[in-house]
Amino acid sequence: MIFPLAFVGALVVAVLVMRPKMPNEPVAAAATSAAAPDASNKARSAAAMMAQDPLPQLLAQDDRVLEERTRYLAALEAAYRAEPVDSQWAAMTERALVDVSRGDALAATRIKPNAWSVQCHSRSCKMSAVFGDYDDAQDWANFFLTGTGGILAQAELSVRRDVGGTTHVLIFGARR
Amino acid sequence: MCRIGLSLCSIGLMLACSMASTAMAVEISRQDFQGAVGMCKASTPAYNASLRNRPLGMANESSSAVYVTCNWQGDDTQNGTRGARRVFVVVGNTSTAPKTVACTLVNGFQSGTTTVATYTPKTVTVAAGAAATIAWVPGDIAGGTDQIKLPALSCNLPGGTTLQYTGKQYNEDVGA
Repeated sequence: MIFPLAFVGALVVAVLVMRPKMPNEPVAAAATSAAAPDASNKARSAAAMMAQDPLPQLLAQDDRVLEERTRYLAALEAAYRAEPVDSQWAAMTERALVDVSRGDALAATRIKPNAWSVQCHSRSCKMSAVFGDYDDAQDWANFFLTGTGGILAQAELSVRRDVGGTTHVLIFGARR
Repeated sequence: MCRIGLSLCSIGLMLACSMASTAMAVEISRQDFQGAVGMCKASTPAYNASLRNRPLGMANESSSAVYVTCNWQGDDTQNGTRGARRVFVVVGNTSTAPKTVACTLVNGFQSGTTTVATYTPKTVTVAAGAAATIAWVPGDIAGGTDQIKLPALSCNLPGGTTLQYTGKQYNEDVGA
């Protein structure tokens, strides 16, 4: 009784496997199942690579980057305000920074900052300026900071577009 | 009994070896050398007229200073080891008078209009006909970083000076 049933079952399987393919038939199941692990590996590999690639993460974190940067600059501002004033060092450093901003190299760029202000306390300086153009603001801030070696140990820069269309540059510089 | 004991010993030894190999990642110190022409360019199109790009250096052949911008490859992966342990540029002076070259290391990135970067300016005076190196190490950047992860550079090249080449030292994880 079992033998005829097994024979019929084997026959059905053989017919299904050996039947001719139709022209519009999808890709063979065997090929699909063989390709599936490859595709899956590729997907895992891309995911692993994306986990290592900082750019998508940074772009995805755009809001968080801005938020953290704003918080950090606020902390720098608070630290700067809390510093006592070393009037001798402050005056000397302010003069040196203003000299950089008025030097030949920056003058040759023909980019002029508005409302340029430099104020130093005892360990840091706060500088700010307003520009009519965002790219000019970026360039001028980079060029200015390039010339501050020997005056500042390092600096943090914020370039922010204001609602009115102007761009506000804010720099906190640390004493050498 | 003796055979079982030996097998257990072998398994223990294999486990110990595999644990040691995962724990002992080896890092080798590398240095990449790159001519300035390969990784630097004029900061704005106007400065191109003053610059000559030669195989051995980017020379400012005008009488006025120009700004150039360079970028090294970085590593922003969280546990990456390929951030720089030291970056440097070598500048030459082909004129007959000493020249001061100012550069600022810009470590960071820009996300949209948000700049997240630390600027570390340095200057060097180069004797006539001589060359000098300006270098930065992680200790130059506050924040307790052990690597300079995203290094870029802005330099002011006076007339008669040449940005010759750049270098980056980093560690490469070569496994166990």
